[in-house]
Amino acid sequence: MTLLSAEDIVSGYGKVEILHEVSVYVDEEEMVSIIGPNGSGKSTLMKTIFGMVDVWEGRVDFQAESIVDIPPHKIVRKGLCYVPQEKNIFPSLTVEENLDMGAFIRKDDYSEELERVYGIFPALLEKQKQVVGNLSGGQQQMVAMGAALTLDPKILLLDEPTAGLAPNLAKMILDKIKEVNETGVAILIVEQNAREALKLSNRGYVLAMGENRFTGNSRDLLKNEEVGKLYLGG
Amino acid sequence: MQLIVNGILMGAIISIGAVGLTLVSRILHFFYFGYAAMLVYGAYLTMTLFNDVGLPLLPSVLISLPLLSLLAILIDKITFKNLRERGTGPFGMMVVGIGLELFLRSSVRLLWGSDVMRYDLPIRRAIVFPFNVRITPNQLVIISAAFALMILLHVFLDQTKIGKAMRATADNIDLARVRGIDTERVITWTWVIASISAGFAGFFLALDTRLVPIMGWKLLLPLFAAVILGGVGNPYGALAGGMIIGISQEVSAGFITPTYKPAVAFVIMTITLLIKPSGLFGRGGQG
Ligand SMILES: Nc1ncnc2c1ncn2[C@@H]1O[C@H](COP(=O)(O)OP(=O)(O)OP(=O)(O)O)[C@@H](O)[C@H]1O
Ligand SMILES: [Mg+2]
Repeated sequence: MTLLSAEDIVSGYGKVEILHEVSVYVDEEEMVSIIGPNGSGKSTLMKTIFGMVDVWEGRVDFQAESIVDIPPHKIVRKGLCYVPQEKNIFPSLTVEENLDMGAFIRKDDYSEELERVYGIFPALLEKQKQVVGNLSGGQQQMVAMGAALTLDPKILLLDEPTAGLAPNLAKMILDKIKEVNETGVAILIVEQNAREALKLSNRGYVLAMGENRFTGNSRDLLKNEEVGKLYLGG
Repeated sequence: MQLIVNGILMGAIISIGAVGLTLVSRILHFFYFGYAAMLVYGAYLTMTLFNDVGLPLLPSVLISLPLLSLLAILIDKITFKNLRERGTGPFGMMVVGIGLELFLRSSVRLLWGSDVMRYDLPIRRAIVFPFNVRITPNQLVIISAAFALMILLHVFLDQTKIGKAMRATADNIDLARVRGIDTERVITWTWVIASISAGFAGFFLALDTRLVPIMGWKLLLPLFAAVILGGVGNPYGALAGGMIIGISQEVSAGFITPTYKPAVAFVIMTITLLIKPSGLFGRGGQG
């Protein structure tokens, strides 16, 4: 079953068109990677799906229902969570408060989800009362992802969750993401560590200059010579 | 000793005012110059209710606050909301803020005149404390009320969901939306808090001195300094920053001519901007 699909998306900033008919979809419980060079429009695609950037043409459906023109604060309520590439935490709030804000829309008890988040990222447990702006880059990424997980979403959109992290830490975060995916949460992830991300994913998309360049299951993409040479660093 | 007590008094007034300013400044991407007018309106509305309508002092203050909030929310809906939706940057917001300040300040002259006024209260002698420290009963009321307010503000911002959402929105409005926060609603609430903050600060200042249409404008510089010192958008920083500015302004009067008091705020503000632009109580890495 298709969970999320964006079809022939055209969008951009001001008058500048960035995405020229880009399509992606994610099935239930699937993990899908989007890779591509800097400036190819990966983040713009995520923002467009989440209603942060207007859709000029094309459609975005979640569970067979259009979510175009729905503001971000209402899209969350449908079970989509998004972790932006930059500025994905509230720096002057504590770890605990950041997670509370993740669960902002919940009126019920979410202590179970909190426990799960601290279970996935035990490093956060001892930092609960600390202001997030003072934490390390890796810990900030954990907070950002943890906040999204408090909603127990059906799908997580992650934009470069390992940006700026040391390789071993990046690997650790990616493994955690796979762990989350294995609990049934679908994942659409943009990654700079393209090879690693594809290995963990079911399928992948290569985006270049605002267009779909390659699409396929991860194994084929990893084997594809052109993809390897141009986008996976040889 | 007397100077320190004066400083605490001034600091209390500045702290209370700075909380509102720091929150709205984040949302408007710039210092809100119209905030000076909010202080003035707060002081004058209270005066009308007290001197003219004849209500007791506390109810006068408490009734002026919702009126002030309504005015602030109305102004936001008419002007800033449209600008926000169009993605207007700091410069546009600043210009509109200055325009509003000028407009509102002249409306104060129109409504209440330019004469110096005061609350119709009996003048009471200062109480003399050890070390020959003199404090008037009004000043005692201001200091204790300000500290009580700080505690209430803290409880609100720290314990309530809407208070946390307000700090989150001041931190990062786009992320707040992504997290499901209806930021327009939070902004409306922020104007309410800003009105309470400005209303009390204006009232305290008028109670300690007197009412003139320019009073808000004069307090604006120390308020800016307190906000910068505390980190823009950080209400706790604003409280602490206000105290620091208030005390250093007054204590400096022991060494330099009191006319230069505002310069102290200016110097502290400039030094902060040079050394640590994010403020003493910073906002950390991202932002
Ligand atoms: N807010 C914005 N306003 C105007 N142009 C923008 C904005 N954000 C991105 N762009 C432009 O859109 C294009 C695509 O940017 P985008 O951030 O989507 O790329 P990306 O694939 O995510 O790159 P990266 O790998 O560096 O994150 C770039 O040319 C960029 O300059
Ligand atoms: Mg990007």
